[in-house]
Amino acid sequence: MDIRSQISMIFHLDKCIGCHTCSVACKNIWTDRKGAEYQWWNNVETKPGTGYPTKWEDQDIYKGGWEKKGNGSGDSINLKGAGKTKGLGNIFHNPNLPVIDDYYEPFTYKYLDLIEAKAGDDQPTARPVSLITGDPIDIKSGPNWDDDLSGSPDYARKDPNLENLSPAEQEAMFQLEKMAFFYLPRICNHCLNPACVASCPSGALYKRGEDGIVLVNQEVCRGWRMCVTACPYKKTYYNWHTGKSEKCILCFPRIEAGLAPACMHSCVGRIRYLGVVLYDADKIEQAAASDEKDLVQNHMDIMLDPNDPDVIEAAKANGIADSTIRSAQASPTYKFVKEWGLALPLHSEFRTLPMLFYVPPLLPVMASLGKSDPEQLDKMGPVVKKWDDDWLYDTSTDDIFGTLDQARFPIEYMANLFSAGDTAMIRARLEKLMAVRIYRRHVTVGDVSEEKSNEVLKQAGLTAQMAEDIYYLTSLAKFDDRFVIPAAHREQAIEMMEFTGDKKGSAGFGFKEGSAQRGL
Amino acid sequence: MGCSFFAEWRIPVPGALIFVLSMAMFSDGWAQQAGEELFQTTCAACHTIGGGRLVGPDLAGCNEARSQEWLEQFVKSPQTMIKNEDSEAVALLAEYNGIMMPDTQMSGHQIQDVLHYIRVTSEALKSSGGEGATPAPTVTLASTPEDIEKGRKMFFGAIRLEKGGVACNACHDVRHDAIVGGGNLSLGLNKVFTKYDDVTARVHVHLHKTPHPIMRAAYADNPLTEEEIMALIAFLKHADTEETTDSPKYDGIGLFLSGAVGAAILFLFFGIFWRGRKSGSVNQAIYERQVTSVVEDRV
Repeated sequence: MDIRSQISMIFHLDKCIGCHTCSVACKNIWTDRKGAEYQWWNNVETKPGTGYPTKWEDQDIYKGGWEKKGNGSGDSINLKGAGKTKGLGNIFHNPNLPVIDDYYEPFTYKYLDLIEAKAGDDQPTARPVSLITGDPIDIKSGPNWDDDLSGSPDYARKDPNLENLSPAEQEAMFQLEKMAFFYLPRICNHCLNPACVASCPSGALYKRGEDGIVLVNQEVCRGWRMCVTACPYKKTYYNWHTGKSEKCILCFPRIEAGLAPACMHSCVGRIRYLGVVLYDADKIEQAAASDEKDLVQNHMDIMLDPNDPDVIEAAKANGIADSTIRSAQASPTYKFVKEWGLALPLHSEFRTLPMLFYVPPLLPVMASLGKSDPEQLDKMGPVVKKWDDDWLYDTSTDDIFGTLDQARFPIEYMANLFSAGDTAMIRARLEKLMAVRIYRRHVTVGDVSEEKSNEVLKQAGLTAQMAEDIYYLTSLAKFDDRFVIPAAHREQAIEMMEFTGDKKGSAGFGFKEGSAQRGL
Repeated sequence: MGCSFFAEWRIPVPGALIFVLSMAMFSDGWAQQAGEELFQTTCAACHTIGGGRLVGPDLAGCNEARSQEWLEQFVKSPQTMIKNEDSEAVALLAEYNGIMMPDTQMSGHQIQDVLHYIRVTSEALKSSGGEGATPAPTVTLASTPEDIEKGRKMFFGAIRLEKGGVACNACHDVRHDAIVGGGNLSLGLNKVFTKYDDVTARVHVHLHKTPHPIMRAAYADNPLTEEEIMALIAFLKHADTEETTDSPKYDGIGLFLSGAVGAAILFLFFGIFWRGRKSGSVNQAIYERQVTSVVEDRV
């Protein structure tokens, strides 16, 4: 057992309102620079949709992630589009890279023209100009061009996750009365088996030992761009100005200071949770190479119970600080993923073992239109809006979980996204979400009987206490409940890399070291 | 009054005359000696006096054929004279297969000394009827295949020269299939034997006691040995006579066609090898459909 700690995230998709505040916070802090204009370390996509860069999930195009040749349990995995031999063969060519038009050509507007235009007969306009060339351009695309199902025939219908769905099922999703979408915010997953790290010919990428954040060393990076090809989530980006690759750094300077990453801190819907998990590094290889049907389960099994005395002992033996173990015990990530079994990784079939988990969306709640009962209406409080007509938008059914089969998003679609095609896993999570909702309806509205609510919880595998906890962490959680950030212990991390005795007695103003430059 | 002036000087005049004459006689003898030394070191490599033609002409009687002034000018800088299209100099150059005498580093006084020596010697020869002239040296070349091979290797430096001299192809080129990339600082030695009318001694001169100032300086401290000279001469003769020059072959359209076929095969291979590559943007079809404005000021 080789216990390590990893800062891991939960995105609760039921709560995401698609406001892009996270993306803007990230952009303002990290990528508002020359060469990084097109990069969105955090982006929010509409699903169904093709995302950013377009069709990033289609690895037949981009050749990202790992692939397993055989079906046996002993078969190893290899990088699909990079790695030693393929990387060497393509090192000067790198044919599978996304081009700028797969992302979008970044642009701004000549706002000054509005102010400085001379008086004339025409209204002054702010023309769009490319942030790459500086020339006026026709805007062709943007990072969320398919937002809210815009351009659906071109984008939503070409969602790679629709692949396994029958044409009838696909068609049903795009009928006007059934059309629905949800948002998928994405950042770097800080994977346990990162393809980007494995692909780098220069060894510039590394996974930080103390918290598992995956970083690009800007002084070592030589701009081969193998990481861009290798990352199946397309979350490493090439900066054309510096000639180096960059990626989400999970705001590590903020994390080290005990602050939540900017995207999480600014999240309006409070959909984001962050906490430490303890995992067994010995099992990574085996889990990443497991059969596709066991992939998600084996991935989850890597994460260990932070309250288990054996785990605590092994963690301490491995130099994990007590404060980190305490954080792991209070980690919302552990609760969502392991205790409650609500969250799932995105596209685990890429075999990178992503450490960002998503609570799949239950919305939209399926309902039927029925006749309203005047007696029931009278029971409702004075603040309740009473409609003149007698239709009722009824969300309750006799067969409580039956609605899942009529969900606007086919379960297969969700399974393609979150469970490598395993529909049972999605169903279990959605049932739990629904059970909590029914339980809370019993508690607050009271129109669901206690027996029914208990039966539902039992079917979903939850207790009333768990349902309360889920409700609390989902709806009421305070800042410190959502972000349980362990003390960074930078001093220990530094001592692992260099001998601090050299510095002893020489503290003072010191000397400025040369600034980082492209070291070719 | 003038008489008194001369009267006062009368006595020193004969003394002065004696002094001047003796000085003249002394300097005459001294000039003769200095001229001989200069001739031996500077001119004798290529010229004889009465010994016949070597690299350059036999200089016996040249003082009668040409004016003193012309000779002085020519010895000082034959290249300038040729450049100025002096008819006699140009004729000489043509007669000697375009072999140009190098400009000398001798001073004007030294040139006079040498010309004096040549004049005195040729007059002496004339009076003696040609007796006592040093004949032009002759060299017999016994060129074996081993010599040729050794010379070839020495030419481009595969065998080091015994005294540490620089390999020939540092400055010279000889077009030979076995030698690639000769120097172009100096003349090509391709047809050197033809140039010297196939007289080995004339080639030998250049390796033994070269008249060319730069080459002389280069080999001053590390001269070639006689054995090396003979090997090199053997090689140069071989290169000249056997016509082992790699004259460019014209392959006609074949060269172009083979290139085209090779390129086609190469591109076919690339196409197969990288057939699965991503080409263009996945959004291309969408972009092509989009309406674009005409942007006049796009640079």
